[in-house]
Amino acid sequence: MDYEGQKLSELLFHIFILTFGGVGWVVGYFAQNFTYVFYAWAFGTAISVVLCVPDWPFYNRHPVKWLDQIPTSAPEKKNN
Amino acid sequence: MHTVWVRLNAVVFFGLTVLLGLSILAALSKYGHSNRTKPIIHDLSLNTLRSLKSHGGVDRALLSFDIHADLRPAFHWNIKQLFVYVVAEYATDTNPRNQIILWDKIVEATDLDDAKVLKQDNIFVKYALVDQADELRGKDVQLQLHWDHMPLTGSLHQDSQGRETMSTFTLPEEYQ
Repeated sequence: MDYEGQKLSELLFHIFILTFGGVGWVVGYFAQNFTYVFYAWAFGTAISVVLCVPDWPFYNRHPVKWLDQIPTSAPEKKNN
Repeated sequence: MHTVWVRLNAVVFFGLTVLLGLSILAALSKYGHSNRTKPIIHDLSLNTLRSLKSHGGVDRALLSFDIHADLRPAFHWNIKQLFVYVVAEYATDTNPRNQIILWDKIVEATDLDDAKVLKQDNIFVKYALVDQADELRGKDVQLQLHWDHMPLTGSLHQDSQGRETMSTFTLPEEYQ
C-alpha cells in the first residue's frame, strides 16, 4: 500500500467505526438498550476490517516515485 | 500501516477503544438515575412463621413472606441485572444490630417486564434466620429489601427499601 493509500485507509476506518458507533449510541440511548450500540459498533468494525486491511487496488494509485539509478563512476583499484 | 498485520492491529484496537468510549458515555448518561428513580416496594411482610427451634446451641427460625416490589424503575441501558435480597434485621443483647439475608434473586435486564415485578405470596426463605447465639425468642424482626445495581460499565451501587416502610413481626417467647 502506498503512503497516500495508508492515509486513506486510516481515515476510512476512523470514519466508519466512529459513525456506526455514534449512530448506534444515539439509537441505543433512546431505546435504553445497549445492544443496539454493540451491534452497530461491531458492524462498523467488521466493515472497516474488510475495507481497510487488505491491499485493495484503490490504495495503490499513488505509487512512490523512486529516483533513477545513479550511474557509478568510481575508478577501478590498481595495485602498486 | 505498511503491512496487513499493522493495519489489522490498528483497526481492531481503534475499534476497541471506541467501544470503551461508547460504554463510558453510556454510563455517564445515566449518572444520578439511581438516586432519582427507585423501585417501588408495595409490600414485604411475614406470611407464616413455620418454626423457631434451637439447633446445636443457636436459634433458628423458618418462615415464609409475601413480597410485592416493582423493580422496573431501577433498570436503564447501563444495567445488566439487579441482585435483590431480603434482609431480616433485629437487635439482641450480644449484637445490637443483626442483618440476616433470608432470600435472594437475580433479575436480569433481558427478563420480561413481568419478571421485574416481584409479586408472590408465601415465599419460603432460602436461607434460615439463624442467630449467632440463642437470642431470637421474643425479638422484633424487621424485613427490608436490598438490591445491587450491577452495571454494564461502572461500579456496583447498592440501595435498599426506606426504613420507614419496613414491616415488623415478633418472634414467639417459646420455641415452637
